Amino acid sequence: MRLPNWLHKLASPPHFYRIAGRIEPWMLWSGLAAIAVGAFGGLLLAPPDYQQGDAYRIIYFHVPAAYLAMQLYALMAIGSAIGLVWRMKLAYAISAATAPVGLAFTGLALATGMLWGKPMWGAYWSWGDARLTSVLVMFFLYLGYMLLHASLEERSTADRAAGILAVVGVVNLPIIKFSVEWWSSLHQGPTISRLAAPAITWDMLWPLLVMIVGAVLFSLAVTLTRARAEVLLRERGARWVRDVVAVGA
Amino acid sequence: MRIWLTVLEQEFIIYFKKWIHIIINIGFFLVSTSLFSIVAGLEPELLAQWGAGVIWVVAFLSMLLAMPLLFQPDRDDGTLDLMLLSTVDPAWLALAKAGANWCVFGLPLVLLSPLLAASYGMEGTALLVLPATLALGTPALILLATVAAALTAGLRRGVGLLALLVLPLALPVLLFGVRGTELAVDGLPAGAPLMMLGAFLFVAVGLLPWAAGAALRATAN
Amino acid sequence: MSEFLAMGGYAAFVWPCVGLSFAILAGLLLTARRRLRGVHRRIRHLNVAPEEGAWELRA
Repeated sequence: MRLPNWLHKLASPPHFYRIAGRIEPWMLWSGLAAIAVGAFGGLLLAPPDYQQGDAYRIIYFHVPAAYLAMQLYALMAIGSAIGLVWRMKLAYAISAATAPVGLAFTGLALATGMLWGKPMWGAYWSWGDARLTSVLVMFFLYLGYMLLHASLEERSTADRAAGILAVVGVVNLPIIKFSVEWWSSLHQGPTISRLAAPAITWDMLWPLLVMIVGAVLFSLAVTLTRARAEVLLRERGARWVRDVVAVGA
Repeated sequence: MRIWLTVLEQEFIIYFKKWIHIIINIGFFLVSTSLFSIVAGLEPELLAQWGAGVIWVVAFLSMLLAMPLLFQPDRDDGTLDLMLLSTVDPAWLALAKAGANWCVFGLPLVLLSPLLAASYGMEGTALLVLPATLALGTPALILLATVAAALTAGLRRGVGLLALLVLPLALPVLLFGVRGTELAVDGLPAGAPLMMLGAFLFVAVGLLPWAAGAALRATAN
Repeated sequence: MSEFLAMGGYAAFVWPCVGLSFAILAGLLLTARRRLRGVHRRIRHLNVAPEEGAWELRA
């Protein structure tokens, strides 16, 4: 199997470095603007929930973080898989750039989930909950990826080794989620009144959607910045890197 | 295939030369499980309930002690590099290593577990279900460990990292193993978790040696 | 205004969540920028003295 031509062109490191540098500010500022609008809408404009009161507003931070935690893991694993199959340095660079961003959002999802859980379930943490546990596992997988990558001296070795871990992890994640769900459905834990949101109203929904879009744009912008740094490191001997660095751009 | 058997045989010879590791492993398993039951001081019925979790987690930990032995010694003395240069498929190499490691460090735990289960106050089918879950689950754990050990074998302080990598991946096996035993303790049929463990092992045997082989290639010097 | 800040009695949960979220966003942005700048600086340094700086690139 060969890669399509346009992808090959995009995958050339100097091209990527330039394009990413051009796109990144747009993504960043539109993302930040969307987050600002979403936060304003979520905290001020949206009506309080008839069951949860104002505590449900944590959703505007928790859901985007949890969504990104998963999506960024997928990005990291796909990048690693492409790197392993086609030996593409750029894919590895993107994987390595994604990991810290994903780790941060996974941590945020866990922390906001705990802050939401306390007033709603009466406990910060519930080991019986499938989602909490599988997100925690994902947190460890991100951490493992980063630690493994950081401990291997040779960068290309680190890329491949951590990439294998990411791919094995992505196969395992659905199994983990399923197993914990199955386990907790049989296990009599604390009865969690997970508040089913019956047809959430538009007033409540739009800030959430705006927030998710903003968070995606923001995280991609940050990932691109990191990926540019990773590309430079991987290509540090190349002529174009010296030119870029000399300009100081 | 013949080369594979040779590797397996070599592994056994090496492990039995270092028989002290095997004793340490079994000792750790026995001491830790009995330590828990002494310290926790639970009522007999509760003890049987907790037993599944305790025995499974301690079995996992004692196997974790032996996981660095999968590749670290061979990596250190250069044997691994030689093997990778040979015509042996690294996936088969990983499978042989995992098989030998399980026979030496996993199998004794399976065989000892009815004894521990009895000391934890389990009765009837639970005394059979616990070893069955371990027999299906521990090989899958070793196969997961093979990938992690192959990834960390080149590192100086790889043992801690190995544990960190294996732990999240091993979670489903642990959950199903404990769940199956708990069901048996409660006198319920435990077929479903056992079948899940079997399915997991089946997939693990098919896929993980291949991943471990790729990992060995990736981290080879 | 104070009603808004009180968050219907859930201020102790909502505001830490908001604060933490923005802190993490800021942290991500700053560390990413710093990393890119740092890599630039290190490669420039490397080009001046190719052998000396090589090992510290791995960070």
